[in-house]
Amino acid sequence: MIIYQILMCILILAVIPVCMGAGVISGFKSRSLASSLAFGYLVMMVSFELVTVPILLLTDYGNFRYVLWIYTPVMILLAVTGMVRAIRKDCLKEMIDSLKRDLTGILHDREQLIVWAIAALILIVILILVSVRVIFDGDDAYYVVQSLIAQQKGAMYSSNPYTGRAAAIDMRHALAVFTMWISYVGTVAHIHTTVLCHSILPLVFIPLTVIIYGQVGGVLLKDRRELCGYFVIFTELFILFGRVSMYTPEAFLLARTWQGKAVAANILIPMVLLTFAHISGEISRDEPEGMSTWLPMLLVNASAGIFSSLAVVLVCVMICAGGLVLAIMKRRLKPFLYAFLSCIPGLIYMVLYLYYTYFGWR
Amino acid sequence: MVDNIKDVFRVIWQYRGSGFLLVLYFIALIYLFITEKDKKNRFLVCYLPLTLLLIYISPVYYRIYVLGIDAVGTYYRNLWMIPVALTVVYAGCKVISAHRRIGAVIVAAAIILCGKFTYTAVESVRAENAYHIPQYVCDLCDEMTQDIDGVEIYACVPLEMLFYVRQYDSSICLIYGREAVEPVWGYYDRYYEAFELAETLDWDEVLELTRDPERGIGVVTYFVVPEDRDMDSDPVTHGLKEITKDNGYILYKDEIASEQIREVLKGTLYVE
Repeated sequence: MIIYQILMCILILAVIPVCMGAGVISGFKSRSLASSLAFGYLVMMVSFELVTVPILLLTDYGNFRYVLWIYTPVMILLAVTGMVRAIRKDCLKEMIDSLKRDLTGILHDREQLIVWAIAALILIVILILVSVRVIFDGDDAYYVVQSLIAQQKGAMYSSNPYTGRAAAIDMRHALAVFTMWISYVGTVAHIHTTVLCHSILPLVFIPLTVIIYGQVGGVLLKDRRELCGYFVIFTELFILFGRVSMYTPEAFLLARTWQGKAVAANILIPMVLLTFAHISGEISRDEPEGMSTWLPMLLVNASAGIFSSLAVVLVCVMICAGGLVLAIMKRRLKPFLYAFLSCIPGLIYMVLYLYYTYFGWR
Repeated sequence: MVDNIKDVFRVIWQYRGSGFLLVLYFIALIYLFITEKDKKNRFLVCYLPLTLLLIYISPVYYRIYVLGIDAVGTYYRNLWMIPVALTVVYAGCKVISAHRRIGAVIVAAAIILCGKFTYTAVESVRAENAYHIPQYVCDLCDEMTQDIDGVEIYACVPLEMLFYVRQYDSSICLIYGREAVEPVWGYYDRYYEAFELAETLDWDEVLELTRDPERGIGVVTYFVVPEDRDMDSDPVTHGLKEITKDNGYILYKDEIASEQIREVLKGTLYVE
């Protein structure tokens, strides 16, 4: 059983996101395995949201079994499509070559080898700490239990997680189906969702956060690649020593990794920056700019709703603000217009949220 | 207007907490504004964060947020849009580019000294199992079984177990939950009042509530009581049976409540 659980975790939390993301990044100028993983998670989240929300709203008690039956083939189809697209566009080969190049560069330079070894060591220390230490958080009684109810009872958001009594759907949280994604992974991999949340997801999402920051660092330090290792070390130290108050993203990352808002603060928002880094690089060229440049941002925006309703607002504000700044910098309106168009999924989500909050869901 | 601005800065002050990472951030931001030449980088670490900061402190945005989006209590989450870590780390890398080794040590020391180690928090304790739930809670939950298949168990547990029980087993329902115990939410719960808040546990009062026939099959069958709890009488004399003891807690089963459930379900598919 343990071997099955490990294999399923590797498949759902690493292989499938990479395959899904490869399809997205095959349209980028710079392609890497790390970007593929990061964008793959977004594809996974968007597709899961699109499958789960209608089931939640249209079936009795939000029948979780339909999610299992429908999402599994959708996920496999998206992964296969992504991989086929990546192979056709030579993206897979480029990703492997880029990984090889980076590893060779590190292995042949003594300073880089030491720096990256320290970075790996700090990451291992963080992962050991999150595994052996617990920081109590009362919100787990809501989020973790929602996932567990779906896993053990097959119903979504139909009871009060604190007591178990039947309850009307809570629209403030229900559209953010990240808890159901956890439940999906737990059910498919035969892992109790509380174990998944507290012992497995931190081992995935904390390295993913470091990877995304590392990617942004790679763009910022494009002409000084030798500093990338230092960038990762400082980022890890910031994560480990960032709990100056209980409100910082770093405090959320280590204490509540499995909650949608923590993922929004530490993965989604840095993804907005990473996508802006790609976009600002693309539109700085003198080529005519089109909406296709902004498609990854559309993906980032569409994925926000799964984490929390507030994440949608934050991401829309960030994208529009970025579009405005780019429009001023380029002295043309198009970046702002495209940024606004990228926010359409978020706007639809907000309309749905307000409608169901004020008029009820049935 | 002035109150709104005060609120915004109060939130920043609370967010700053006990460390100096925000101070470090503003130093890094100013440094990058002066030294960063690359337009793309200036967009990511200077112009965009500054615009977001202006939006954050704008009273108009604050009013929209508070009136239409969420409560004041979550306004701090807007600060997540500001890339504090990214800016400090990037500025650190720029500073050390000429003297990497010694520079790295100084920047690392600055982050460590201005920050706060996460695991010094008082809430941080050793994990006892993969669930990250105290082991005695898991053991006590394992002992709670329902005689009739498909019928949910209702339990009454002390405050320190309240947040964990349903994370371990969602088929165990609780007579009162988090709503009753969060002081800021301000709900009144008569079960919580009788079982947890009363100085001396009055079993007659508690059992009158938990065995109320109006609860149907939702009557409480299990009670977890700390061994040192001040009680007016021995629960065994009230029809409760001691099942087990663990880590200073006693698990009782209410046989009379179990019988009540059987009576309610008599003649149904559950009980023939």
